Amino acid sequence: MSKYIIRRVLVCIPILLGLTVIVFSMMHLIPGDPAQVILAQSGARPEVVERLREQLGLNLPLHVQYLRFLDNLAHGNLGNSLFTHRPVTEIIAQNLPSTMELALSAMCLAIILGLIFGVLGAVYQDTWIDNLVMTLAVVGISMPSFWVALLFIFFFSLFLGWLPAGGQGTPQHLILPMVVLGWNSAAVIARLVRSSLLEVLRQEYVTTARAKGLGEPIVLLRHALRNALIPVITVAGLQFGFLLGGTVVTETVFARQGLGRVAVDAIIYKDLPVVQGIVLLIAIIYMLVNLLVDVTYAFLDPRIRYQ
Amino acid sequence: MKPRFFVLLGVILVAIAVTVACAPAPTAAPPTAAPKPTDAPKPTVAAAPTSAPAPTTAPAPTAAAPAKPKELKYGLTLVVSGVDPHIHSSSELGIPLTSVYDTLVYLTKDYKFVPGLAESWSANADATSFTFKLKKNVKFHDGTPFNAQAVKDNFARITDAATKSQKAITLMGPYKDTEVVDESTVRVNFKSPFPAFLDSAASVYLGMASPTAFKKWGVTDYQMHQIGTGPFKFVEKEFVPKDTIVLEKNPDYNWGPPAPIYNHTGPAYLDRIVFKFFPDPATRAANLETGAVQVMGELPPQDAVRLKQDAKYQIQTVITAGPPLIAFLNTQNPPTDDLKVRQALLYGTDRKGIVKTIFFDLSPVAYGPWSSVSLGYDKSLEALYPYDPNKAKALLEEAGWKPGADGIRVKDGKRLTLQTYFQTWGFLIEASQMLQAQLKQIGVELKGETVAFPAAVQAANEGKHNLMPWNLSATDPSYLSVLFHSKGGNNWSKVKSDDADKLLDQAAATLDQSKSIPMYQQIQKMAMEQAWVLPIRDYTNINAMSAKVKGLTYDVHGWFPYFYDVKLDD
Repeated sequence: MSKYIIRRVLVCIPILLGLTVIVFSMMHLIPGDPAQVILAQSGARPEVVERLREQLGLNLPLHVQYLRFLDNLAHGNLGNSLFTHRPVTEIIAQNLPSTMELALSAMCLAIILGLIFGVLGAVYQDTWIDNLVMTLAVVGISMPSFWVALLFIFFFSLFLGWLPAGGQGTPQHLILPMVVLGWNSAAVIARLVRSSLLEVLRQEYVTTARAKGLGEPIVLLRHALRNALIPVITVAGLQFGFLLGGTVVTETVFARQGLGRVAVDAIIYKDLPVVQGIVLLIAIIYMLVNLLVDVTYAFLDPRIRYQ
Repeated sequence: MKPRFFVLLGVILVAIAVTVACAPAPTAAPPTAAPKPTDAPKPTVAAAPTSAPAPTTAPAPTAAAPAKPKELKYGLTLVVSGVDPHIHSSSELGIPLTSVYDTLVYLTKDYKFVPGLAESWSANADATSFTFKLKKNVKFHDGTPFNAQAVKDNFARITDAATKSQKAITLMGPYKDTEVVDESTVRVNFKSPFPAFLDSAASVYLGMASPTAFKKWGVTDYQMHQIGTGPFKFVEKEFVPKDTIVLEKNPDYNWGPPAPIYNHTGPAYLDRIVFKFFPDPATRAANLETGAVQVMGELPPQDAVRLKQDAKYQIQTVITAGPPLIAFLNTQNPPTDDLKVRQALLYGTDRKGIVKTIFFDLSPVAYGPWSSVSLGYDKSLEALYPYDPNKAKALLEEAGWKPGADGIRVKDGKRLTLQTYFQTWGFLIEASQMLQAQLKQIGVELKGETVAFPAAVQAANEGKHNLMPWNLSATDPSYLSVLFHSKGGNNWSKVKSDDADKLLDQAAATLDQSKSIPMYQQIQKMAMEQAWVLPIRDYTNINAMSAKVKGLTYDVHGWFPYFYDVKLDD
């Protein structure tokens, strides 16, 4: 098992390197020159723009710029923001906790709601409960989060006055963004739990379990659900990446601090070092989550072995 | 085997418990408790929603005093690129920092200079040297005395290449050096005449920072610890970049500029000001109405119109100085290289219609390259281009553009198609869509591409556009050379006119405003006769605030609030 984990981690390194190349080239394909952008509103003459470009190292050939980035990376340095001149590591450290708080709480919400609704849908298949739960799920998948966010703000903040419309600092501030962000994933997970559980319930060992007189809750939770969970775990891992991406919209709408908002700004203004740093970090988190998912398989199904 | 599932369930539950427990910030006040001041602002729409809530982060152990600290919460919009005024060019940074840094002089709304940190000043005859007599007994927030050496150190910092200044350096013009004449007299020298220096010296970007502090922290770290002489101090402990800026009262302040800038003496009335960013325009009004802030900047016009009807709120609309919202008409790129086509665009645009439909008349029509509140505005331009679609059509006919099969005009087999780029701020998309419909009526096709800021900057610099809508801010009319000088940084009409260059250079070297202003008016007239720009509306800063906020005024730019006289009613 530990061998497996070490190998998986090592495989991540070339993937991450490839990723930096992709991000680096993509950022250069987006039109716009950071030096011009920085000076666009200050009426600077062309020679000032040229000097700034030199100071920022943007006049160097692309491969030199990339090698410089790698060199810095090898020294644990992600470079400085072109705009604020602050270190990227500091920017990440300031914003990561807030984003993780949001993404993790949304993930927990998605898993809990997804499990409850999915099990309900499967157990009461084709009854009104099933129909209700699955209708909610379709609605959840279909509604874009920025729109749900505005609806929630108008209903819960302005109309009912229960929850703050934006900002952060207290648990109440977390509720709306968490629900808006987790809602969609909860719907995806609920549908999957339902279909996967229905499949398992049709299998013979479930009939056997029932035949030997086990109570329905035990059949369901101990025998059926465990096997039904394997595809769910896979999708939950993928959903975590989706949630990290979703923080972009949620953080903007709810005026929360976070990496998503910083990343969007950095992409819009072509603040390359910041984009690189955040993409790298999110990729690492995503890879770790997927590794965790793979390890969890063995936990759920002892028949699975790693070589 | 059987416990494994429950172990997993347990792990999930623990994870939830941990996230929920970690979620609240340091103040873990029970949310169910009665309205405690440390809680978030109470989101009630009912009567009396926001009675100046106390600090949310509540670090203050000094709160032993019985009086509740007067705190103002202010909503900012665009997230700033950085907050060091000597380095960064963001205009949002001036909103909080105008209260942290004092400037040598201040500029009133009728364009008179009044004393700031300098009690008097004089320029030599050719405006290459400015001498400032400084106020005495002024101290920076860290106790460093403010004196002639401090001024010299500040200008040295701005002009040092290592500072990589984005805006302040441009405001320093042809800077040569600074001489310390005596403890409270300083002389600033320029390589060539620079009459606009007083205007620069009144800008927050040349605000006076503590030399002890910026030398101690270095170029990139100073922005986390800003130290000025202003009526409010920057609270470095509570500063969260791109999220929160907190200011607290400077109890020693007694050297403020005279009325009409600051209207009392001694320290400011407010104890604290907390700035938060609200990047999504759709939620700004909601955050004001739930009491998360008491002042919100750049409200969408439809929300402003709605809140205007409500006695609990007041709307302040401030026309900003400098260029209005204009579309640069590219004079090098066909078909707008033809004067008649450009003039046809001016006659064929119903600006009143745009302002009424999209901005609910909160923003006046613009007539030239210089807004109506700016110094040296030429009122005579208002008569130049009335909305006259027939005249526009006639001009296009004269230029050889004949109506084609689908109504779009054609010449030599080419359609009359203009390229423009919309950015997502300032309702440019909506305004451009209306413009599209209006121009179609005179047989012009406007093709728009929605782009992010960098792409717009690049397209503008490379001259790929026919029309490029933009808004800029300035107070000194010498800024017109940024727009129309052949070497101007934002010469996006691609003007190459020796006459304009000569006139702009001459005006920029003239100290006497009674002589320079007619020159600048001539430039404005030239810009309109040559149809270099299509003015749309005077840009208006729409601020909404609780009716309890009293005494908030804005500086001459129209963007930067003065918080010194602000009071909050209970």
